[in-house]
Amino acid sequence: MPLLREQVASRVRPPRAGSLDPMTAVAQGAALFAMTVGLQAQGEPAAPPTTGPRVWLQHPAVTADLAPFVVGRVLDPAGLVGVRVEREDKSWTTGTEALDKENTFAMPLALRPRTANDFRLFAVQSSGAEVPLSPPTFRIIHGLTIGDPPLARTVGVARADNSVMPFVERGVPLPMRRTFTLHTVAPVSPNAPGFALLVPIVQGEFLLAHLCRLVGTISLEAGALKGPLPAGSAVDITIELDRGGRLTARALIPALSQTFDHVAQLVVASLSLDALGTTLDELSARLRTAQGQAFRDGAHSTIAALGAAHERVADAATQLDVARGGDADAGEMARRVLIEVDAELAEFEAERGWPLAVDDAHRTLSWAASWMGRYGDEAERKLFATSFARAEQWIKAKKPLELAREVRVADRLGSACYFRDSHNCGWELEYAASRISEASDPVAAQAAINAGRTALAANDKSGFHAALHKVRDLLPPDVDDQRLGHDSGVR
Amino acid sequence: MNAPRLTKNPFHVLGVPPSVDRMEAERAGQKLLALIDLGHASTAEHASPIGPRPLSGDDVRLALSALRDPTTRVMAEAAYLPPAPAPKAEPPIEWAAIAARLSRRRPFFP
Repeated sequence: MPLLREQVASRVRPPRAGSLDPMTAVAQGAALFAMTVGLQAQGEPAAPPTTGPRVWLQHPAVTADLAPFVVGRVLDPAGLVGVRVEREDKSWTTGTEALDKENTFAMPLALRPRTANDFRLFAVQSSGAEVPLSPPTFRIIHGLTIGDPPLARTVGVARADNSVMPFVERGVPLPMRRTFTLHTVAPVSPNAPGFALLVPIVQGEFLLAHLCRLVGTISLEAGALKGPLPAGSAVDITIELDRGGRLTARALIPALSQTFDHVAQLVVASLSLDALGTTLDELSARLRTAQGQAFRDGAHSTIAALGAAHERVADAATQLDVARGGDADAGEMARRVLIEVDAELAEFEAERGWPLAVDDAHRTLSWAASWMGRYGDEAERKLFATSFARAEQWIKAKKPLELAREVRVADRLGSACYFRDSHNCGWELEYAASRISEASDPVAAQAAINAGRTALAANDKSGFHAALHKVRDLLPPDVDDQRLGHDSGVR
Repeated sequence: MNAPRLTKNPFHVLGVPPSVDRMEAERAGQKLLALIDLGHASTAEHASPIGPRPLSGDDVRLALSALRDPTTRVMAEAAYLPPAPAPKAEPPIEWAAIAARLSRRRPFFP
């Protein structure tokens, strides 16, 4: 239909390929995309056992570059002098790359074009002998990179005080990888199996963890630790999202040179039918919860919308069964339905959390305003007024992340004024003293409290704040906040 | 020209000259991101016309994003100034030799 083509060309400004057959254009696009993600009909071979020295690798999963870098850090460097990488087909290998003083290496690779490239990693010992590293292999796919898809919702880590540390914000181009350092809130001993510190990964636009959806958890199992981990230990958390929505989270404990991993499916990106089935089950459970909440709220329009969504999920389950019988189109239809229902549910969850977020913002703003009125100077009052006005704008615009940032500014200004009142300083110190038995190191906590009291008596504000911060680091988080923060074990 | 544009020029952030092609810039950026994720000490700072500046993963991603867009790349090329040469390490003061020459006692500080 030439007329239709002309109209599309006039409305869609980007250049078009007019020579493509409209009947096969979608199939060609799908084939190109399948090539970029290395889609294979056969199953993955079983991974070989990993027993060698461990290495922390960084490399692109898919790249259009034929010579990308692989960068890594050897976590067990004893007796090793270098690393060598060999392509699986043995037609290409690097020389021995010496480890630098930080036990890291960076090597350019050579990819075969338009295919999946598997590489083997070897550690070179001082004797010249080679041993496989752990992991022993990695894969990089050379292919087209189709425009980076944006992330639909913010992903972050819930902290023990029920706040969220955003790692990857909504709208950033995928793939994306971010690393931040958090600290443990409780000691963990390998002699206490069964106990675990949790690092909850949440998705949502709120900075209050209980308003966000839990999408995965890294569990720092006590029994798996190589040694005792005191409270306050640093944990480097890396969250990686590939362009399909597959989330990989890794926690590195530098003190023990130990890593813990977790993989989750954020939406339904994987083409594997098993992954689709798992996502469908999770979505059904979320739908049931949402329906229950809508019934309790008496939200009639939401009940109707969720009922329709439930029917579509039931249809998707049928399509999935058909797909298991070999109909790939049915699998695609099921996948599309799940993506749409996931988006509808996210909207419902955000709507439900919004009044709670606004309540919390109003509480914080009024608290800050009361102390600002008593102790704020002119510049602080101006800043607070600006922040307050912006917060009101974000409330009207229903922008939770921006609102939370503005509220945080007001909270800091209010806190500064709050601590100008010596009674408040004394009260904070005595509250900390009342919880001293809960401290991870009661002796150090008592010493810090004594130092704080002395500083307060001498009107030494900086000394007082240093002491108070020290005590707070030694105290565990509030139990209620921790429960709301998905039982997070980090801050 | 404001200070961030001067110091956070994408070419300075990535440590590459304006003559690099897109693929070389991507490669340099991806390598930097990987090293930053590993916490490598060499990636703590980048060179700039007014001396070393702190470097973060976000800086690298923004630099890569700027160089992917032909318009912002031209602006970055136009705004490029060569980075300041690394400061030369001052030779250590030979206090012992000075003290011996002046026939005084050895100072407490090294």
